[in-house]
Amino acid sequence: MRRIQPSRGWTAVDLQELWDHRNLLFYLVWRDIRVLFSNTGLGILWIVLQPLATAIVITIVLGYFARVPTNNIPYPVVVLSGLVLYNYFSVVVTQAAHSMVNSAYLLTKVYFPRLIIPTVPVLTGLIDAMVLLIVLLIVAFLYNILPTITWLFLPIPILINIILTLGVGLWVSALNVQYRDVGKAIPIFLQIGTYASPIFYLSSLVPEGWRGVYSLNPIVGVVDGLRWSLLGVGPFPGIPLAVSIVAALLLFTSGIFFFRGMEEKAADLI
Amino acid sequence: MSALALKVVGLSKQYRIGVDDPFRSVRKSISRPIRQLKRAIMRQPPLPPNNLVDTNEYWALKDVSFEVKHGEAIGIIGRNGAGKTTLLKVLAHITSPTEGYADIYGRLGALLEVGTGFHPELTGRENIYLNATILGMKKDEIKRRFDEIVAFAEIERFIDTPVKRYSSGMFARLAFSVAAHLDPEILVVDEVLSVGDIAFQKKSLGKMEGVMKQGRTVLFVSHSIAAIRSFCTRVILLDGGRIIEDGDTASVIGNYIKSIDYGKSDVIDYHDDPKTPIKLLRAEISPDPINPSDYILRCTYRVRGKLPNIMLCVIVRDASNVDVFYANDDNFKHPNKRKKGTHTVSLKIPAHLFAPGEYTISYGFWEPAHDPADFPQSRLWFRVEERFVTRLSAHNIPWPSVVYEPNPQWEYIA
Repeated sequence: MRRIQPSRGWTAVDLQELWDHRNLLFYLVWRDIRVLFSNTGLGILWIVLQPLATAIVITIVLGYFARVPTNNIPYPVVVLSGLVLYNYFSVVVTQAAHSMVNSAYLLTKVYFPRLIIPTVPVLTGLIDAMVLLIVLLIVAFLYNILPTITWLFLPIPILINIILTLGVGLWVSALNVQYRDVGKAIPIFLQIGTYASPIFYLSSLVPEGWRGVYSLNPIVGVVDGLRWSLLGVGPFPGIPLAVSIVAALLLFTSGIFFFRGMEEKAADLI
Repeated sequence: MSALALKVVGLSKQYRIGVDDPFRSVRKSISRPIRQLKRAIMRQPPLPPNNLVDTNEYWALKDVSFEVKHGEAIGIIGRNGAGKTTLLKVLAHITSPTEGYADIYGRLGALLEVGTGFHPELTGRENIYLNATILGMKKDEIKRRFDEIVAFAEIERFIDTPVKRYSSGMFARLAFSVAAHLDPEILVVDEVLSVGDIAFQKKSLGKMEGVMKQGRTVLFVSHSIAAIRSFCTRVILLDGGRIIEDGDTASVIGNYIKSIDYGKSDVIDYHDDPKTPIKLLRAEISPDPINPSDYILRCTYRVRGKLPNIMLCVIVRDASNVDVFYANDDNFKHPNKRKKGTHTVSLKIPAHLFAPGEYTISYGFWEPAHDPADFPQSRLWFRVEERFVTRLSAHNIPWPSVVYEPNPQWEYIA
């Protein structure tokens, strides 16, 4: 027996129900990837072409013309290691923000755990992140950066980045159902984030006095973590990474609760 | 067989309509607390409780209670806006009720639309898997019924072709076919049987009847009195979100048909908008005084600007959303019709040609190759009565589904 009754706001996630719908998640992810490939000659290349073009232009402008100091790390490696994480974050957050509204045709016609909807871009985004990561490793290899023991640490910042992205994605997707302003504001924040995070430069460039405030940005920890693990130079970024972990877990759990509070109303609001 | 399948107790659903901003914008929820704080500092009385919200409440469902036993096939009827679809959406867990509750004993599947989630770039095969999963089928279940679904839709040759290359008929058949093979214990169906051509509609109705004969529990919303009559043993009549009657099919349908007030005209007024060059102010439908089986639509509109190409368009749709009548005022060459000022025009709708059923009218101003200039949501409708009682209805056989039904003229020749 199942009882349908007025929503009581903050309820726990029904994990069993979520598990029962894993196929739906799988098919929605598969559909998005499948559609991305159809009718294009270059297929998956298109999704990494944009970050790659950015990397090339930025390398020429900041690496060669402006000569941003990089502690002797090849500039393309700096840019690509930043973009692997930040491109994933910004692409997924943008898609997640509009995911509920774009899925109105589903939400008003069928029931399923709504958490699936903002989770889809988190998974589809992994494809281009993977390709970009491979490009990064190839470029690193060309610059004679070879695997060391610290490479074992590589999955950690990537994993934290995924949880962080999912947390922010849950928040913005739920907010955008009620306040469409959120969807409009996100590109601005993401653009500021490109410069407020160590994407095109190393965080060691940030003056000592600013370092504390700067590290409150959870992207700093994951990018520094990835660079430390890839290059094995400099001190281990313990504090920024701890900030990232705490922020990711906080955003993720609060995001689930906030999303759950909104999801019963979603079909009426969209 | 007599175990309870569904128990609905005091179910109510409230919607808020006409709030100036359907999705509350950030501005309002930020500015209100600030204004509240300012008043507190200035020692002014606090703002009245949020007046934005309370004015336009409307109960799409109010205090609906009923029970359904396993194996019952229940029809839900009522005019547009009676709350039929809202009831199904609450039972299907798509939207939550405001008050009351519903207990569901068994797996409930809802069919509010066919083809939900179909993607034009995917092939027929891929869409079957996707759509069936969305509708709640398990993977092995889909695998097992796959051939059946394809055969029923009659699209074997095109199963690996992207759906965007399908004809609209093929698309509709495939969509319905997936839905028809859904196998829940309790099935909730909104008006979805009327897809495809007449032959396929017959087949769908047959399939539906088969489902009901198997002793499945079904809640079935339809505008087609004939379909309800042939499937359902019990009918619930809704009006204004409340249950008006709940009883055996023949008597509820009989009372429903009697209760509809045909003679009355129906009017909708629209707000004027000084910014638009042309604006519909009022639409009114009433029976033609000369020939009461036809209807007259009167439109009043105001012209403010010059729009040489704009046309007033009228579309009449039947209950299955098929356009049965279209007219625009392009060939109506009255010299005054686009001069600045307010005008009223009338259009005769030849309803005496239409088959019995409910028809909705949409109308508005439209400029070719542009977005509609002013195409309001209409709730004007009229009903064409069943004109003849034949032995078909005495035997509970539905009238063949036709769009037009002009008076048949028989003659004895020899």
